[in-house]
Amino acid sequence: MRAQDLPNQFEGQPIVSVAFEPARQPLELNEIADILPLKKDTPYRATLVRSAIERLYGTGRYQDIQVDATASGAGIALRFITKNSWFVGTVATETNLSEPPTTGQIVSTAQLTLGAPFDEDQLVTAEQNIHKLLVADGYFRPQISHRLEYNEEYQQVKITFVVKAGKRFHYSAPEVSGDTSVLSAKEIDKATKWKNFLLPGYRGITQSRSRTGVDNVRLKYQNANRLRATVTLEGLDENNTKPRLVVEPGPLVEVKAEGAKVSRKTLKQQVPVFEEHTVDADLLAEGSNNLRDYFQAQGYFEVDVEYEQQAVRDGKTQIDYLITTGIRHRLIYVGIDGNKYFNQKTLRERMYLIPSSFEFRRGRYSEASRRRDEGSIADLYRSNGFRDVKVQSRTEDDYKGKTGDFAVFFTITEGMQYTVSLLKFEGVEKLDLSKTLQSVSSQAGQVFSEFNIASDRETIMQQYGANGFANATFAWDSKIDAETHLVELTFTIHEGEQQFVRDVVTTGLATTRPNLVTRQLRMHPGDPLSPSAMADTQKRLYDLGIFAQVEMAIQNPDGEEKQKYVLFDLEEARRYSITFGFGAEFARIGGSNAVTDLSDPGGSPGFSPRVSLDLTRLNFFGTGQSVSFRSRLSTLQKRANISYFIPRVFSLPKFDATFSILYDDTHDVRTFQSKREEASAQFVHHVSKPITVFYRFNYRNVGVSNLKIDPLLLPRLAQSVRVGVASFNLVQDRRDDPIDPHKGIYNTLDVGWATRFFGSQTSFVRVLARNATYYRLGEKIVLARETQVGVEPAYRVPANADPSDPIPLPERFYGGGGNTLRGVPENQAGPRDVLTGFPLGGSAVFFNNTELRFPLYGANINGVIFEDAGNIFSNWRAMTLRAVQNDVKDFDYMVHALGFGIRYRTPVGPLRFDLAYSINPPKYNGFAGSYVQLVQCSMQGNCQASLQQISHFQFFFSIGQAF
Amino acid sequence: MRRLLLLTCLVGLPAAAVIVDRIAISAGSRVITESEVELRLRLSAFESGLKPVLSPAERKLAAARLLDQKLVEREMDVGHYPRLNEDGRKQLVREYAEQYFQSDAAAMGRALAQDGLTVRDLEDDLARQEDLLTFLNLRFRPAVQIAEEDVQTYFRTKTNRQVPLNEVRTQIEKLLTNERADVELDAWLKEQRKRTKIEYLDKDLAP
Repeated sequence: MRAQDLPNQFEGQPIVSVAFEPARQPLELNEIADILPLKKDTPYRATLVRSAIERLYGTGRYQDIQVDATASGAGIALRFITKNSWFVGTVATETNLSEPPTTGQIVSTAQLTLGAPFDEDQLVTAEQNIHKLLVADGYFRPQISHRLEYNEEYQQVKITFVVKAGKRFHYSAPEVSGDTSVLSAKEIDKATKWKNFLLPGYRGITQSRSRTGVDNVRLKYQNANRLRATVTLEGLDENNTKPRLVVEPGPLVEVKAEGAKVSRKTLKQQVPVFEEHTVDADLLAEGSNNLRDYFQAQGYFEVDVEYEQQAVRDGKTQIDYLITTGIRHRLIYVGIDGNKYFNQKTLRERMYLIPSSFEFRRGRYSEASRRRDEGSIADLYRSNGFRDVKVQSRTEDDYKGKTGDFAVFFTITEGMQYTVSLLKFEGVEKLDLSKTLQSVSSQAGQVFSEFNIASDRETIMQQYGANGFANATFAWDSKIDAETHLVELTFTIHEGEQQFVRDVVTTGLATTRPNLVTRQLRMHPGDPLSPSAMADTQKRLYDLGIFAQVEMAIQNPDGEEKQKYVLFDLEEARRYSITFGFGAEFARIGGSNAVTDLSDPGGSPGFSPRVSLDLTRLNFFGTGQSVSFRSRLSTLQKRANISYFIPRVFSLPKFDATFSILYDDTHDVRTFQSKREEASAQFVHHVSKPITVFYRFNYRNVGVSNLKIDPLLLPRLAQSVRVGVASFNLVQDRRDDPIDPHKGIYNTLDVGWATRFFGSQTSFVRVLARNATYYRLGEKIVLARETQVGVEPAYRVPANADPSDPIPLPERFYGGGGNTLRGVPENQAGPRDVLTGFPLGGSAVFFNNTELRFPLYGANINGVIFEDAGNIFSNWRAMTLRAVQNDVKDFDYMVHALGFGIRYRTPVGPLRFDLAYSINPPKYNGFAGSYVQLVQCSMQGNCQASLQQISHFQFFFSIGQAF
Repeated sequence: MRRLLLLTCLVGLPAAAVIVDRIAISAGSRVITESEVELRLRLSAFESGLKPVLSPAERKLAAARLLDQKLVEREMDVGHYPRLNEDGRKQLVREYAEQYFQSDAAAMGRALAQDGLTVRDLEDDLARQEDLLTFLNLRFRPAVQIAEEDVQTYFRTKTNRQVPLNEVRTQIEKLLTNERADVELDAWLKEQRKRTKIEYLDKDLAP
């Protein structure tokens, strides 16, 4: 029986109880009590029942609600019978296919959004989408099913798509229909590149290959001047596994420039018909505009460009760009007057027009840009309250009587500045914005500008957002008095309801310990629902380095409930990663390593190939820590390193720790071979975004062998050395791009202390400071400079130490080469052995590098002019700016080198080739004989020196900027 | 004896639960309950001066009107459109009583009660109609442009042309504006229905 059949049966009767079925509801009891307009011991009203259903449903937590009433004693008992709604949780796949598509693409194509309402009808569309994706990638017979796991506590469904992809189909020779007179079917087949390279048969079908294949055919037509060619791929689905290409070459279209010389490459760049693969009036007009701008940038300020398209005749048509360049000009002067509020520098920063300079030989001018600059200047004024500003410009040809010289004059009539006389706020009730409102830009007395209002809106809305008012809106209104130039502003805010965090739900953890994730959360139950806190949490989770993806969402975003679940769905990254690397160095690094060969102390051209292998295990025992093994093998070095990385050590968010052990066998200094066994501990403090501090302790045992030095020094220098060093390293990095910086600064300071308290056999202090700055000159030119200074004074010198430099050989400063001083080969700067001429390093260093970096050709090839100066010095007292070598035993002077380099930009950094000319390379005595002869003559004190000199020309080839 | 036993059993039985209301249609986050459908039906009949007919066809029609109403209400909430205040609502009821019941509020109350309605029900409905008009005026009417040609065509085809055009121009423009605004509203409602997830829990109300 339905109550509607008995209208008003219960109307006015007292309600004795209000119950819910099931008893466990998705909302808390107090929330329900707030929502329900019906209360116990109040009269029953049908309108209130209706309202209760509407409000409960509006929370989004229910799929269906029904209310029944039972007569009970002197009143009625009400019962709400509810059915919960569900929300999308983790969407996963189980599949055996090989990519593409990736599992991420499969999940994405299902279009099931985390936290959104879920019903099973969505799965039909999802599976259809997945089916389409798989078919496009050559899996024509996939079987797709799904599995649902319901979580009643959070009303969440985990959806797993089970995909049995089957085999991927392969292309075959395409069936070509249409006009094949221009390109034959065989040529089209070849152009698609669907055939295997060298092997018989065809490649597997993928979306990307299909698209590229069609594009390649289109490109082939374009190269044959068939700009209107259409190429369509049909077929390729479960019903038809043979690709069908329908081609229509269209007429032969020639695009020519008349009246001025324009290369084909420039035409292709400026006229968009080539890129768009079609010809229409809009594209041709755009081509005219582009060519006009192109010629104006060359100095032809009066250029006129029109196009003429001829009708198609005998399958051919021609498009002529008629160019009348006029006289070539040079923009000599850009004048601005009438400006009082802004200075010239401020205005010029916003202008496109630039008078002629080193970078712009003819200046930079175009008619369109002149108009744009008028607008830019006017916008700047308007955004600062000058609503009535007028900006006009005029040009003057043959400026100051010189033919071809051009000048532009901008005249600004600022008008009056409008200011805010009164700022009112309406609708601010729930949130205390007193501090924020005091700092808004549109205060009384400040300039009136829509730019300021937009900024104020951003500030106010951010406050509301951070405090859980997700639905707050902002509007503004103004009353402008044109006579007094005063404006009354009103900001109206609709706050909406404040929302809070009900709970934070994380899903997707398989091996990671939950408390590792919990420690990263920046929001807790009861907190206002803040998008910035959510984003901060997401960042912290990504920073752990153990998650491939961190998806975040608010569950039931459109529901009217005040408390919301915040969801983080985590995808753990693959725990093991292996990286192989190949590289090479080509410079004066060659020469024999044998101790008996004393030739080439200055190095000879050499090539050193290099391979590396890294193996990393992430998320060790689910703790977020990782273990890695890194190895490198080249003709100069064998290295193996095992390290253990702990992010956020001791739960301190800005501290990481690394413990490592290292074995290194290196011959990068030609004087000796060193074997190093080292253990180290490092703590990193991420003080702020640009500032990082490293605290390290290293304990190492370094042995040297194959020493190419005065045999009398061998007893002192050939011994193994134990060194324990505690060091502190501060890095400040404010560069815009660490790989290829264009502006900013980079400072480092490294201070180390080796002392017997740390187990060191030799006590010394090591200080090394570096300062690099980068300045943009114009748009594309960068002036970069770097200075390095370091000293390494020893104290408590052991009795058997080398008196000239008590620091053990491997611990000294070494320098020279592609990253320090390009006037000498790698590690060849500074003091040398007086008998053999091999470098010995020093305990002081000074290098200064200056580079002018500029575009050379196209977008990827840059040039560099550089000047390097400096040296490694025996000790800090020997540091000098003197540029003359006093004698063959004097190496404490500044070496200078000038050079030129080429940089080729690649995704991994610039490929670098530098050619340097050293103005004053060091001369030194070498030994023209065998090592046995050296030993004999040194005992007798009659060794014959062979005067040698580092070559004036040095070359270096590597990846990455010099600094 | 048997009758006595039966009576005793019946008296001893607990009272049966009666469904007093449930969701008939859901549209996004809004719902239309069964009682609301019936109320709509009764109100439409009352305002038309007819007796309510609770047939399936009439219920379907009432549900369709309610659905449109919910879509408009949702848009008005999101866009913060102004709503009629309490004084305005009372004024509408007074005007209604004046127009149809010679200002006899008691007579109006009795007439409403006969059809299972209250004064509050009538007040709510009149206010909703007024709010819909506000929505139409603010949302669609300003964008309607009436060309001179349209005015002239209307004058030529739909009037007897006994009065000069300039005397009826304003009326014609207002009429055409109303018509066009209604067309815009219908188009908007159609679009909203497509975009909104609408579920008919009471299958009898589905179109």
